[in-house]
Amino acid sequence: MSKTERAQEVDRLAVLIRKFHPMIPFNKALGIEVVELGDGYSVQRLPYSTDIVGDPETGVIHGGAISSLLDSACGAAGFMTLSEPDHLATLDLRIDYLRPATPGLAVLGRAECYRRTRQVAFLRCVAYHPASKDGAGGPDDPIATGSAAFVMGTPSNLKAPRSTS
Amino acid sequence: MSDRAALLARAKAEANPQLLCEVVPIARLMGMQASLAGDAVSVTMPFIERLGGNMAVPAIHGGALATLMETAALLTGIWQSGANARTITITVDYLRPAFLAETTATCVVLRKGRRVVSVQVTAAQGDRLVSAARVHMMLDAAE
Repeated sequence: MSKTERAQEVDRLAVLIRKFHPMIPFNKALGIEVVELGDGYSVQRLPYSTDIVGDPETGVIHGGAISSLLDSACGAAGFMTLSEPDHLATLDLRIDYLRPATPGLAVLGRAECYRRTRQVAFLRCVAYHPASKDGAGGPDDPIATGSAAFVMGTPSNLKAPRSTS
Repeated sequence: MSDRAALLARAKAEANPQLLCEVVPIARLMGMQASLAGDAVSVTMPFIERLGGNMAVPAIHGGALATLMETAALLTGIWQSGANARTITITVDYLRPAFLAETTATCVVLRKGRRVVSVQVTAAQGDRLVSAARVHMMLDAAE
């Protein structure tokens, strides 16, 4: 495939993510937005909000909000490796919290797919504050790093009831 | 005594971990309810629209499940140690799609040291296991 053909595929995939991402309720609840999409990678942004605080004494956001950001970024990065749109489901996600996020600052999550087989995408991801003038922040000054595996295709057990309640 | 220590003392006296859970903003956002299961803390989350992930399935967002499980682990660590706990690492395995239903995270403490507590968390909808996680957390020096 020519470079131009792949670039067109990547553009088509990005259009789909930008269309469907805002429809995901939990992304909306946390305010997670797509910042950048490219061949096999994605950058997303989690704004600071007092609603997502995990430690009321310090105002530090909950680790789960960072897991959510990175899960979302990894899913998009995996999707951005495809030729044809497909379903991706998280199989596992491991996050290392290197330091607490700074209250009041947005968090960026960058994920890249370093290997994809026919059915599985393997991803690495990093969460960081936007780079500031004094040199703090940016992907080389991470808050958290992670890795994930996603499976592609519609799972066979999705003929299950739409609700178990 | 700090506010945190006072709240923990009251929660312990009343055997009610929800007192610790309800002061956490993201736990309120997600409708979490904590209860005691032996000496561990379980956390239940009703399905509410804003927890949705892939609505084509439709399923709860993986990040919402991770937040639920991390919260249960932290509350268990705090409950058992009496100190504040912070997550070092979390590893979540997504075993089955989590449909739009009430989900409960329950914890088993694998090891409780002086500094590090390691907890195994499972999240289930009724008796249907949807995901599992391991959380290692660091304890602050006891207050």
